[in-house]
Amino acid sequence: MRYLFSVAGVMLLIATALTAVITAQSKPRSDAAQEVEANKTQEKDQASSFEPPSPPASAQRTEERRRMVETQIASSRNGRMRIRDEGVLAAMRTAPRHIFVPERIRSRAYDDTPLSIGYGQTISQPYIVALMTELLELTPESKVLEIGTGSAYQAAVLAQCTPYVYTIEIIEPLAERAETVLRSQGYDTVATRQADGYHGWPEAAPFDGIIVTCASGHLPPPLWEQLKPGGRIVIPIGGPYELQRLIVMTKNQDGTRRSRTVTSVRFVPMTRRESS
Amino acid sequence: MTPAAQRDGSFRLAWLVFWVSAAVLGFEIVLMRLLLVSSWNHFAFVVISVVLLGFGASGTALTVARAWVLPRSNWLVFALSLLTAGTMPICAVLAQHVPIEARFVPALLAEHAARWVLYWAILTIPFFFGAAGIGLALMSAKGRIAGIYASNLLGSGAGALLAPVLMTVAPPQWLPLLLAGPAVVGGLSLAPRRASVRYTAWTVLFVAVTAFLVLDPPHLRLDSSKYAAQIQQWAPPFTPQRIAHAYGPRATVEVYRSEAIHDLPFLGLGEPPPPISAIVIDGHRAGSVLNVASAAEASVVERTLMAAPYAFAPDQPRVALLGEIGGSNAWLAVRRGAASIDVVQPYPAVFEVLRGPLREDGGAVLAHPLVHPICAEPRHFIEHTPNQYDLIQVVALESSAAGSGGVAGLGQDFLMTEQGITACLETLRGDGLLFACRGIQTPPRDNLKVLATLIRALAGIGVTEPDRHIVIVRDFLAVCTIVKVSPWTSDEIDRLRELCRRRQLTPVWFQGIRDDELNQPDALESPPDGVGDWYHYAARNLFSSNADRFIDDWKFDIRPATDDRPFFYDYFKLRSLRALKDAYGELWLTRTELAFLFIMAAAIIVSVVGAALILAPLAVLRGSGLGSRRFATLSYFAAIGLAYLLLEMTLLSALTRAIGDPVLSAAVTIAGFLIFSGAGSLTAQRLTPPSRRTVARLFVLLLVICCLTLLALDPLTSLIGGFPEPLRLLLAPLAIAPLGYLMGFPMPLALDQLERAAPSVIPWAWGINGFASVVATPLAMMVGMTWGFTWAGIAAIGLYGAAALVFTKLSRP
Repeated sequence: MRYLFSVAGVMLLIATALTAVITAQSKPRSDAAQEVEANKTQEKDQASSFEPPSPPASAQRTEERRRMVETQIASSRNGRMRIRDEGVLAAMRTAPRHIFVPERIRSRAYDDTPLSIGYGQTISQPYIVALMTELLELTPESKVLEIGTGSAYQAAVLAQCTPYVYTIEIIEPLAERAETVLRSQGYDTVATRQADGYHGWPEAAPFDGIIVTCASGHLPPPLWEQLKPGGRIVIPIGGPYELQRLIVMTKNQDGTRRSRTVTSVRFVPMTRRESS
Repeated sequence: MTPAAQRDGSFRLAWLVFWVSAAVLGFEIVLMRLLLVSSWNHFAFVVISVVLLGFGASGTALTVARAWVLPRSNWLVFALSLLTAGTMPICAVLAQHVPIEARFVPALLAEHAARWVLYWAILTIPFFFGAAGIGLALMSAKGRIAGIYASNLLGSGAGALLAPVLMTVAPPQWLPLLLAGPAVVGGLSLAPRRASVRYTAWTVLFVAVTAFLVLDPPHLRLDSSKYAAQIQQWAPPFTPQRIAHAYGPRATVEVYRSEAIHDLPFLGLGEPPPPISAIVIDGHRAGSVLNVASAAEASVVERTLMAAPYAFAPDQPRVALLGEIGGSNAWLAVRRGAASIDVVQPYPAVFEVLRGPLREDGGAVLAHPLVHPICAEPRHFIEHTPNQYDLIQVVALESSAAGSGGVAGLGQDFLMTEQGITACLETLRGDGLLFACRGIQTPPRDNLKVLATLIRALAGIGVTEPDRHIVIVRDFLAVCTIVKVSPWTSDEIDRLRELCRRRQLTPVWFQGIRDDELNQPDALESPPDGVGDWYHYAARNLFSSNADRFIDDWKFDIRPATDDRPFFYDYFKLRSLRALKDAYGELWLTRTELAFLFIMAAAIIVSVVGAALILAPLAVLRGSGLGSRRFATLSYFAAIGLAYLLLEMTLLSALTRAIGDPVLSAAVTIAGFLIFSGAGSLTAQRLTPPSRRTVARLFVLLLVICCLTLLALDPLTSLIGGFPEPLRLLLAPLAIAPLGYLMGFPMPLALDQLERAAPSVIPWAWGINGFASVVATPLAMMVGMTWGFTWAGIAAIGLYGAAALVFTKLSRP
């Protein structure tokens, strides 16, 4: 009998210890889950209460931006596909492109052309920025990753559409400058990072949209992994300095893909982009 | 002056001309190599224009300043030689400081145009001095003009041979300095005999070279469009390490390693690839080396489009990889159980680095017992191998290069010709297959040309229903065209359908394909009939009886390339220019293949500049004794200049196929022509003054030998190609010896006539000939790209005929 009591006592002790351990371990998990939930709730709140940023410089050169949108983006000039998404058009009207361009060529910031931004880099022409943004089909709830920050103008346009923008640049001076310019214009929700964009941003994944603003010979597998089912990647596929195809690829719910070639573009690899 | 002194003076002059000519021609070839490494490929072609500018400008300068220069000719020739030597390395370095870019944003066009002008002006300087020295030597030759001209040709021939030799011993940036040596050797032969002057000259030279090397050591500034330049911008921790390099006449090969290098051609979705090193050839990315030590670690290659055709290869296939650079396709063949794998590529330096610094990881594939590395031009290899294969992969096509501005458009590729692919099909076993993967283009061109070439090659081996022998599939990256010697069976088609479903491939063409199978899951633009994509539309047409009309109507040139027109990578159609401009508006230039346009622009610019340089002296030549011979002189020297280079380009193209290495072919062909022509010129010296009958006989003989050479060219190249390389290098110049020898006569005979009738015109005639020779180069390319090189040869025969008719008018009072 004593023996039975001893066994029961030991089992009780083990059960108590196990319960304590499980409770101790489950608590942080519960905290983590709560944190995720809290973040999601916060994101939902942030999204539902999303007000596009009003960068201080957007008060300048408004007429030029309006004209840029009317003549280069919202019209079917040169056989281009018209950009119809009102959100994208509004973003293009607001983001102060001239601030992302070096001072010496700011007078040409709203021309229908790519421009040199220093470091041997260029900023895409306005139309291609608008087209790629539209192809992402963003909503204020969308989490979007940009590979190739460059001048940070594309990131600013994305930030006008959603508060969840992550952007990666491999060249350190460009990444630093992008951070400074974005903060100076109140784009505080844009997360920046100096890294190899090929690997994406796993900590922030999954994304609803991924936009690659540099040419790639193939679709980086990590980016595909970090895309939500139903999400879209917009990427120029082709060799550097060659004529590439702008592809929009959708991840089906079963993980398979479907893609569509939208137009031909000419981007440069990893370090810069040139023109549509 | 005693006769002995005269002879000595003439010898020293000829000696100088020999070395300066060697330096100038060597510098021309070296400059091409420098530009191939540092800049846009087409710029290398512009070197020829630079030479023209130098030669033309020197002819003008000598004509204008004749009265001043002739009395000082000895000193001036000496000084010009040293100036040539000095400016070659200095200008090569100075030009590097001009920040030119091959690709620039349109807004900066004016700024870049100004930089280009400055760049080319700087590079023209050494040619100006060199040509002025040679021209002045010709002017002061006094009765020994043919001998001096022969020295010029022989020296140029020596320079053509010297340049590739130097390329094997020194990196490109040091070559201009090394080539200054021959010009110095030549120049000092005319230096005043006083010891003090000689010592001073040597001291100045030594100090100048030392100062130059200390202040600004030779270096190469890479154009920002070059892959090597782009990756060097990456900051730590991504800064690429150059882990290996090798240089040679054929190419400069570098291998870079960085965490941020990921490119593997046509890689599908899945796990990321293992660490990759990039093989860079002349600044451009040429291949990927998987940093793995075994086939098991190279599983990523199974996700490339190139893995798909293996599903239809016989068991344990014997594989030939034509143009494989990095080894990833060799890993694939090993993984797929190949019985033997022949890796064929033409750059010795690539195997050097793979077997050397990379042998422990990426290069390990070459040491695999089943893999046989073969350094050869793929066409030459496939035509002469005794082997039979089950699977031939045309790796050389694996890029996404269409629409790249025609970067490769000027390149001659003898593998991707109708005859080249026929040779491949003939080495396949009965159930063997050949395949090629190439990036998708919008609008399609490259892959259509692949298909058109395959269809023509199948016809060459007697296949009457090519649509039953070819299947085409694609994904979102590339198109894979697979051809079998035997027709595809229904069982194989079923397996292909299953493969497409499993690997998410989009079918483009196979027997019995249904409309609902097309253009998914990766959609491309559909043709007007809405059936599939443009690739399927093109396949339907190319397999139909309407194929020729379809090829003719297509906006890009998709005619199969031939050995006579070996420009597979040229897709430009001049008559489509308007349609392209209408379709793409102001972006038409970025959507057009620029190779042909570039050549055309070069020919026009060269003609305009050259005409200005020739017409300008005409004004000065009033009353020089030229009189009514002005037109005859212009026509004669232009005709023989054009004819010489047209023939040289035609034979160079053919002998490249025979020898199997474009650089060695260029060296031996150019040297062969110049040396045999030099011998001809020396013989001509003994004939002066020639009788009319002698001249007529010479021209008739020249025309007959021209015709015979052109007629015998095809069997001759096949015959030479069958010998081992040393014999090929020996036989190729011998094949052109009779023609080259006779081509050496027309110039000195006419110069001799002029020297008697109007000596002041000699530099002008020299300039015309130089100008015509340079114009002929882009002209020959244009003719070759449009109609084939045979027509360039025929045009040369016509021009020599015309020159023969004009010759008599040169001596008419």
